[in-house]
Amino acid sequence: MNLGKIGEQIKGGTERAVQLGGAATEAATEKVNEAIDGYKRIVDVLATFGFIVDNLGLEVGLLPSIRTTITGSINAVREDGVRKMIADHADDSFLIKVLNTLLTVKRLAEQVRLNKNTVSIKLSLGVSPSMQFAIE
Amino acid sequence: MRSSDATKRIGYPMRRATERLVLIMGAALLAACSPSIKRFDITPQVVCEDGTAVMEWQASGALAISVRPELSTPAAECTAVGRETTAFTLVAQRCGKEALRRVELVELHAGAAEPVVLRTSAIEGGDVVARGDKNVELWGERVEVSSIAACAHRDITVQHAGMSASLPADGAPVSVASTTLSGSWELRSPLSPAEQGDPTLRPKTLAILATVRCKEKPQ
Repeated sequence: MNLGKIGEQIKGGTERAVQLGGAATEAATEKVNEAIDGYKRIVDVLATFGFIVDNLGLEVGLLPSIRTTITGSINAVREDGVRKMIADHADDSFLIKVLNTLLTVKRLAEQVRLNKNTVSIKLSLGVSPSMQFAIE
Repeated sequence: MRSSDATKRIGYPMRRATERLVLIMGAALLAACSPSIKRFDITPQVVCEDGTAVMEWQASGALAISVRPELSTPAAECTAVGRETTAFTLVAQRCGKEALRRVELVELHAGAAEPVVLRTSAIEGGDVVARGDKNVELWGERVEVSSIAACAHRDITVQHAGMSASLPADGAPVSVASTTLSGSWELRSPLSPAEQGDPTLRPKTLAILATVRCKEKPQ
């Protein structure tokens, strides 16, 4: 999946929405652009642990958001690597929350022995961000 | 063909009975082929920074766990700060059915503050009074209060765990000798002349903000 291309396509779409909607949507578009940048940072960081994007959607409107699901193997997540990423991105609170939760999920997966290694991360970025991790 | 007729007459109710039996057995099998979660607990539900909690469950079916951290919102006046809440959901699946059980875990960071918000229940003299409890099961004995401050720009007098304190309306914190957050609280605030004259102006709740910390673990 070419993430850079997808990002550009989304940006193109939102720019057209601004042309149609005028000033009212400009703030929303700015929020979407922030979300796209945040999304790219998260995908880049998680890609270093072998995670891939399963799906991606853009919700436009007054409260625009990007929804995505990123999956990978918990076995490929190395605690020292995650801690380094946290230190490297200290100013990105959402990404840090994703990485801290990934560590929690890794410890949980190791301790509860569900015999499941796949972690699915559902993210919503935008005005009202959220995240959900599932060990499946 | 009487015998055949008889057979038919007897056979019909027998077939109905058999069908009923099959239906009952089928329903019983379906009930047996369902996921179940009898128990899903996290103890304690409030942990201090880098503390540990134990997750226990009793469930049947294919199990999965989802983890959903609550994202902090910009702090408004008299809201909890320095806490991270994470919801854990246990999912059991069997025979195409799903059972869910959700538990929250709260992690407190240094300088965390928790609101104590109580519904007003009495007018005593010129004061409005609110009494209530902070959940002992949730907050336990390990989380203690180091200081308290009034909310909503009201003078408030506090009674809790043998401690009494007067909090100024400006929200300045008042240090208190270490007491647990859990247990009974009484908040009392003088009514303004307008509130004394018009009951609709009286506050429905009284609130303070308690700065909390974790007690050291016994060595």
